[in-house]
Amino acid sequence: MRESQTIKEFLDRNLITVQKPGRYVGGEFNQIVKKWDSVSCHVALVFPDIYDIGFPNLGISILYDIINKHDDALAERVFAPWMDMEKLLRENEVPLFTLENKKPLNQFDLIGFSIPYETLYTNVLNMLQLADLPIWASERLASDPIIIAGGHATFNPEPMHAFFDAFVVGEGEEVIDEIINVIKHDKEKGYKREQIIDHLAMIDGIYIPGYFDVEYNSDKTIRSYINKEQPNKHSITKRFSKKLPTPPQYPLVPNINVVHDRIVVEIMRGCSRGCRFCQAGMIMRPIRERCIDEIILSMRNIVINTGISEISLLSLSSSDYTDIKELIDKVMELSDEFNLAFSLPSLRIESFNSDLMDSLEGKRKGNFTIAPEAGSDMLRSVINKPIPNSSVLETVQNICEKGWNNIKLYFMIGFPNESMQDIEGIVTLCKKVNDIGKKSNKGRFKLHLSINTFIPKPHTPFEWVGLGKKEQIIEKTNYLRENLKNSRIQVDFSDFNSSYLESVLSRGDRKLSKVIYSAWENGAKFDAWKECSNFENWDKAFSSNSIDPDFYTHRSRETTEIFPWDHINIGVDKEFLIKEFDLSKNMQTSIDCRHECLVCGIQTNFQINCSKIKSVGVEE
Amino acid sequence: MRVRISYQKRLQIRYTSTLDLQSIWERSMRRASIKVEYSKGFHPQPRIQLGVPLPLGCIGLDEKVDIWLKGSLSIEEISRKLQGKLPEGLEINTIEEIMPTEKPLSSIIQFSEYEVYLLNEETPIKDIQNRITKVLNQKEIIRTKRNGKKYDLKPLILSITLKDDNEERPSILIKLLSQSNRTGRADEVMFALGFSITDFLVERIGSFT
Ligand code: SF4
Repeated sequence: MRESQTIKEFLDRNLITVQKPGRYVGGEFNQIVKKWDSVSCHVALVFPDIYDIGFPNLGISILYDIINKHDDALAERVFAPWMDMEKLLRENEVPLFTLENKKPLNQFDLIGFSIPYETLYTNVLNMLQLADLPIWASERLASDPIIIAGGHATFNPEPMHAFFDAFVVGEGEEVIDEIINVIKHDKEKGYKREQIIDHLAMIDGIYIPGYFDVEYNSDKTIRSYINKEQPNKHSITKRFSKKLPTPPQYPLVPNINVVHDRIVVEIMRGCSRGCRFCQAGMIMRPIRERCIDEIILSMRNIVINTGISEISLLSLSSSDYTDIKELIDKVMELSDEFNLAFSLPSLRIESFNSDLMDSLEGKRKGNFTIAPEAGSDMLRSVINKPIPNSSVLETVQNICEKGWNNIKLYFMIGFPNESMQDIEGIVTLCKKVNDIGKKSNKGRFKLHLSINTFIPKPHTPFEWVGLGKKEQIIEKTNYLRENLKNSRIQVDFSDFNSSYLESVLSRGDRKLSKVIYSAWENGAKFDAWKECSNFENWDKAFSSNSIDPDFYTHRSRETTEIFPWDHINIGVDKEFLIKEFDLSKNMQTSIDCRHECLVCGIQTNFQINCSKIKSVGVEE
Repeated sequence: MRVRISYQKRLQIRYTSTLDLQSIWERSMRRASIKVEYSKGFHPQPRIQLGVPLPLGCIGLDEKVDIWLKGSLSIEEISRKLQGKLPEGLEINTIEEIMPTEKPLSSIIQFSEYEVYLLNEETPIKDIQNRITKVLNQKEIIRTKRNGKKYDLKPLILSITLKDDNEERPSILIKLLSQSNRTGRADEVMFALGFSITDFLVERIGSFT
């Protein structure tokens, strides 16, 4: 086994030959390096993409902060090496190591992967191999670390079930202390790996795939899930923090250029709008707001502790924050005091009024993003994002007058019940927006369109819907391209193959583990990267495993079908999703549940009061 | 007031590029609550001016940065405030106040001195000495830049000497021109001497006028 010293020597010699060597050295301001032998519980936090992309990941930074607060535990970070570094690691037989103590991953007690999106799956396998760890959970030995995963993608854990010993369902910060305590305790007692996993299984929100048996019907759909070890536990209910935990006050400051290099303070979690295509809106319920005082105090502390002057507020829908006006005023004061650049993403035009625009007066005007999602008022009723075209245009008029020159519009194509008229609607709307912008801001106005393929996601009211057929999507894409050609509007389309892959992986069952493995063996990795994605690797993997991927994507399902993710309980009832699905078919909308509870199940399942939790987080 | 800070750049941060180092200084100053002046104009930038760029991966023993501060502080106060505010690997040697009108470092520096450590011990000392003599006797050393352009390294070399005081491993001292348009790279000299990129570690001792 190579030790840290050998790894350091390897780095001294070879780093100079790779792109951006700063990715592999750590040493950032506020980094925590504990003496290895001074703690009993060693956790590696892994983000399966390169440093530049993984560094800003909020989940990792929150867990890093919490774990390192334990006197008796440490957390260290690992990111995927880029191809040049991977080659060197393999050639020199150096195992994947952490940034802090340069320890090989197999020396840790616990390895936690953060997986926000499905196209990272092959990187997980690649990293396990680079770490010299058995890729299949079933092949791990007593001396191997326990390997777990969490993050949005794992709300359907099944495609990756064969590679992890356990999954965390829900918010990691709520569960991590319990996990650490089990590991510390069990290690001290000398328990074996199997026993530790059994103890982890007793923590709410921990899903052990090995405990469950799946039976299939002859048409390949699922007949049943059976928990062999805990017969009374039919499903795993997600965990969430009733009160948002205080943001890390000493986040790390990168030594090299990374994406989103700024301070991010989460102001609100969850969203009450209930857009029917939005998975985050369903799985992140209920809404929890952070109070203004805590936001401002944290921002001030973080600015002082990091020296970073770019700051951004995070939430699914910033302008829905209850006291957004007051918050922005206070943030602006802070900006003036410290000379900060402040950005406020995720504004909803329903709640972004001219009052708010005035508050943002005087700050540098960057992009203004509006997401109408669909091209017609009717289709927007189907997806429950009832913004009329007229208010899109009115908002554009207003913001152009206030001096914004760059507008970005987001649309999706391939929604259920979508017709060519809806696609024509996108063109008409965009042209109108462009006209308004040009009229008020002359030559400086720029319109940017981003058009993605709609992917029906698990745990949403559209989970029964099939992915749009390739021919249809391409026809619609061509139509848009043709009709927006001469308008000087910049248009980006998502690549159909990537959407297709994301769709398979997000909706897949246990049979996909083998496919993912084969695809990786065929060479698939960095599937999220345009320059690396290669659908052939996947095509071969599906056929060599005799799996028809269309089964997971294009098929529309009966509402009685048991889905691979049905034993993962997000607290929102299936009946609610079905009701919303039925409403969508009749083009009926549902209101924002801040105003009136729609009985989605969150309150009853978790025995909470949504409106109280939202502001105070405590429950009497 | 304008201060000139001499600092060391070692450990992990030697893998931070000159461009990224700019924001490291800016953020360090903010952590230290030392207010930096900004340039005028549409996109005001903090007035922080790094000296001769240090190639990625090199250790620097006496690197320089000029920073314009708002108001006036004593040198002791600046140095006290910066304590513990720099990332690991950056260490301050000295801070001095200089005239705001002084020319930028990049325009006055003439040459830099490097010490290059050999990571392999296989090459015999005699052999290295021979290689140095050979290179110094060459009329020209044509090498290719990253952008594909050919250039002559020879006139950029002021001296190459073998340092072998029988302590540890031998090292090679190299003196190179370091003017804004005529700058020699120590690694290029090492390549000309027949070493490969993983064979050595470059340390810049300093840059001089
Ligand atoms: S329980 Fe009611 S208020 Fe709470 S999230 Fe569900 S619909 Fe909204």
